Amino acid sequence: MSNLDALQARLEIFREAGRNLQLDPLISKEDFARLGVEYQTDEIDKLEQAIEDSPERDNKLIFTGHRGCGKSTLLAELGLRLTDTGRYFVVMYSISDTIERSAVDHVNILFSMALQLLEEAEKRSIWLQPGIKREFYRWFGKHTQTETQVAESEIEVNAEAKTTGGIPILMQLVAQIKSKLKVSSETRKQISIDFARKISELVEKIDELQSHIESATGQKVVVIIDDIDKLDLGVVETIFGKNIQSLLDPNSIVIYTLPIATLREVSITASINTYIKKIYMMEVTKFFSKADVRKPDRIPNPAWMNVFSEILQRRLPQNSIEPDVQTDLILLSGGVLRELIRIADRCCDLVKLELRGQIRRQQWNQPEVKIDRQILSDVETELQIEYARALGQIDFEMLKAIYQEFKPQDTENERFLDLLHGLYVLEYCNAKLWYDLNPIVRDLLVQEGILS
Amino acid sequence: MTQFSEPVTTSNEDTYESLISLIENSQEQLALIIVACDDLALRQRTIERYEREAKQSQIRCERIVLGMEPSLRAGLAKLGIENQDGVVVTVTGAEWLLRVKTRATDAQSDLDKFFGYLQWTREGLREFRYPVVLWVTFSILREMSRRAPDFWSWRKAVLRFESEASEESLAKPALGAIVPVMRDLNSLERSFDREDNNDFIPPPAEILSEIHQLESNNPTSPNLATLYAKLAEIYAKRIARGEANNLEEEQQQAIEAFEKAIDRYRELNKQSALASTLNNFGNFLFNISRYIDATDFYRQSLDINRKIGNLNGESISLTGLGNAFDSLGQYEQAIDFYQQSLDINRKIGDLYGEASSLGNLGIVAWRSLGEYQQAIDFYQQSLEINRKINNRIGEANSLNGLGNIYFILEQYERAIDFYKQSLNINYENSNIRDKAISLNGLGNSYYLLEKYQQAKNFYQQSLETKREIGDLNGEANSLNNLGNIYVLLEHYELAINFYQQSLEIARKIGNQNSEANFLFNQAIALDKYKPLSFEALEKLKQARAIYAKLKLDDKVAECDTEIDNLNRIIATEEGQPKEDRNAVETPTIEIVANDTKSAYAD
Repeated sequence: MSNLDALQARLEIFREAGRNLQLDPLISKEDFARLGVEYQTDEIDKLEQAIEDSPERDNKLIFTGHRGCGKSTLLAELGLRLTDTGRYFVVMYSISDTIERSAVDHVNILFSMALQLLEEAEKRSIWLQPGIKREFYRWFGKHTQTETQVAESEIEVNAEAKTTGGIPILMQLVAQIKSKLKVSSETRKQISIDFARKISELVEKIDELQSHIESATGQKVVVIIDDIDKLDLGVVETIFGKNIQSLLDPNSIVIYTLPIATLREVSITASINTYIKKIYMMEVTKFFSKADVRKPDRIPNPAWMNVFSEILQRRLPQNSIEPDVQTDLILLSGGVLRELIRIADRCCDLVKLELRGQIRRQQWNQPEVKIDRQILSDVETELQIEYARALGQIDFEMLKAIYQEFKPQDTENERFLDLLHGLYVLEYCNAKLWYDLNPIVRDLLVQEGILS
Repeated sequence: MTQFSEPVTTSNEDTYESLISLIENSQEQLALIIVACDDLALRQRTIERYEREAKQSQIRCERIVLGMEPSLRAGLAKLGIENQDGVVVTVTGAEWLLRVKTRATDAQSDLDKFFGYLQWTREGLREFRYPVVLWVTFSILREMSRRAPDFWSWRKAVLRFESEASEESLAKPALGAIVPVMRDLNSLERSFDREDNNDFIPPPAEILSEIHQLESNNPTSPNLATLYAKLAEIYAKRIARGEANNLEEEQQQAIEAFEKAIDRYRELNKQSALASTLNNFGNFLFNISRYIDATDFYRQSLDINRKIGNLNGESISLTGLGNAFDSLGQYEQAIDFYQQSLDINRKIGDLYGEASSLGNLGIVAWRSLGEYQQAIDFYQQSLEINRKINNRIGEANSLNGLGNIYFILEQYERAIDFYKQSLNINYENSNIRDKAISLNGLGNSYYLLEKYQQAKNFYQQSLETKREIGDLNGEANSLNNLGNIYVLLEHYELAINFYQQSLEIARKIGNQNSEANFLFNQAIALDKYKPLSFEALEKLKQARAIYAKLKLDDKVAECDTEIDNLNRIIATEEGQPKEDRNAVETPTIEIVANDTKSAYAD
């Protein structure tokens, strides 16, 4: 094997790693089989139990956690687990795939919920009676100004037929409606106008779909709406502060994901707590206890280090990272899974860059390129610059205070909430909440001479 | 009424010359003289003029008015003219033939029939050896060559009279005692729940089968509440659209479904669904004119919405109450509820709702105590808001409301202006339902301007539009309005027929208030058609019974007056024939006005 071949093979290995280091959550069974590790399964147990025991009312769950801490993956796993019992009809979707993020409101969350139920019913060939089915398609068509005639006659034709994977024309129509909901602000505006004053009609439609699906399958409908936490804080506040009631009106079990910063605002938490028994929280992994975290000889929690190592092993090529560098990389993530993946992915990018350089310059017989301290350091610098871009002097002061006190002066301060939402500050939890800086931000502050 | 010597324009004068010479020169042969004229007054003058001249030339003058079976040949045969020397027959009535089918299910419209008869009986006309002057409108003339080509080829001549008078004096037929007065606007054409009749509804059997299945498998399932609410909604819609197979039975089924849904929601403690279902039940009862019962459910809904702090819902329940009290003629209460609803909409910054509440207040303000100025104020405010938020449909509603007010104030020209603006917006927005309402408003205005031809055209368009969207309630109102026109034109038989159709629709959809109104109108027409028949009296009594049941006391009193009148006349006539008849005040006819009440009590 020539040196060129060796370099190219290695490049290919890192390319493959790059594909495994996508920031997307794991969703399918295949994903889990290939890349999944056991992580916070007790959280899944808790949620599962909450659903199993959920009464007919009070069956809405709020699930929260830092961005990128693994919520979506966990929810997907929950969904698969529930599906496997054969007792649940799980509909999970991302709100950000459904509606443009700036335009999300309680009306179109509910509208998308109805649409998603219809799509799942069609996809899984749930047999709805033809008249009932036709009414739904007509209704969706009407509110999105979409022509449904062809689809309706198709329903008549297929009244008795069972098609696996859904009737193509209907699937197309649903796709068309979904794309309108996502991209057409006119359509969304019209929906908001149509239902602003009669949200009950929208809730009725969701309940009807849920009833029909449950009649047809004998299963309970569970809706999991992901990525609400990706929305801007103001948007989420309007939805859950002022309009939470209507989001709780549908009969089905619904899990909403909320950004953690929203829950630090007392008024909103109060509003949520009025209607919801318990908020489920996925924590960021704590490698250190609050007592130890500032000690120079601190030792990270070995169990968690193992989990994070395992995640990296599943995704990185063998022998591609030096063990002590791997430890540093893990600690740099602050316990946030997506940050871990992001840092590893950037490291792989730099490795690939180096490999390509060697190929181009025909530098054979070099030592094998790995993720080494230099590469990790370069990645950190890159990320520091990205984090620094949005920070002003006042922020530095606030961050410094948090670092020193493990908490902000005022947890409801808008700017603090933004920093929390943006992962500058991470929330950890023992018996009490405490806050620390994202390690990258901490290092940034050290470099700036704000921290020693 | 009109003098011979009155100058007519030169070209019409020339046409007249041609006409009279055709009449004189075509004796003893079949001469079909087709005359187009849209100016009914001019036509009247012309007919009188040539008949007078003809008589001077020893020519007999006969007239035929086309009626419900518009056969020219049958009309001529009925005249039974044997000695065919010196005759001229004038045929009118074609102008009143409707383009639109009298019943949606009819195979042909009047006009279709007319052309059909012309086309297929032209050979049979040969036996009538005298000139026949057939008066038509220009629009009929345009269609004639195409739709009755064989008849057309037999024509002797086609003459055209241009309209002379200004619009104001056009088409005023000589009427007897009837002067329609806009006295009662209670039977409003509500765009009440603004539900789209194009919505598809599944057959109740589908939901019923699901309910049965669920009741045997899982009788405590919360889904049963959802399904019963759905079933109730389906029945309610079927009834509103006149699709119920058996009205009474389905009304009963709807009520039972509503009650079951309500019970179950109560048990489940699902407050918002409960409030919304109670409100829907209120709407259903309202639609079948059970106003008092409706208020009961609106109130329950209101209480819950207040309890759970659902301001939107509260405003909707209040609007429902306003509507119900408005229909009961209890305007002060209605105003109170509309006002509360307005306050809430302002509080929650719901501009659409605010505009709509203002519109409702506008309606009730002009209906109660004639507070026109206040009504105009309300409408103007609602117009401003609607323009501000670019709610074109709302804008059209406000304009229409203003049209109504000016209509009531007898400023018809101004009313027409508003209606036209409103109509334009509705055209622009393809808002068919409200387009029909504007058209109806225009019809009413022209009606009171005594431009009956135009009024008829607008009513007709409104009727067509309503049929297009399956708005049965509106259809019945338009038919009623057409009936009114025919009463004024003394085509009582036609009028009775139209009232009958509107009556049948009202019965089909269980709208008792309308049923009583139409019965009342039909009674008036019957009395004109067959004086002294007990039929009219009977209808009035039926109407009275319904009004009494609905506790509409004003209407009951109105019926009593008419019944007394009739009884008195009948008694008088039986004792000593004739005369006094005209001394009794002619009853006024109910006109169905429009209402753009944007009550979103749904």
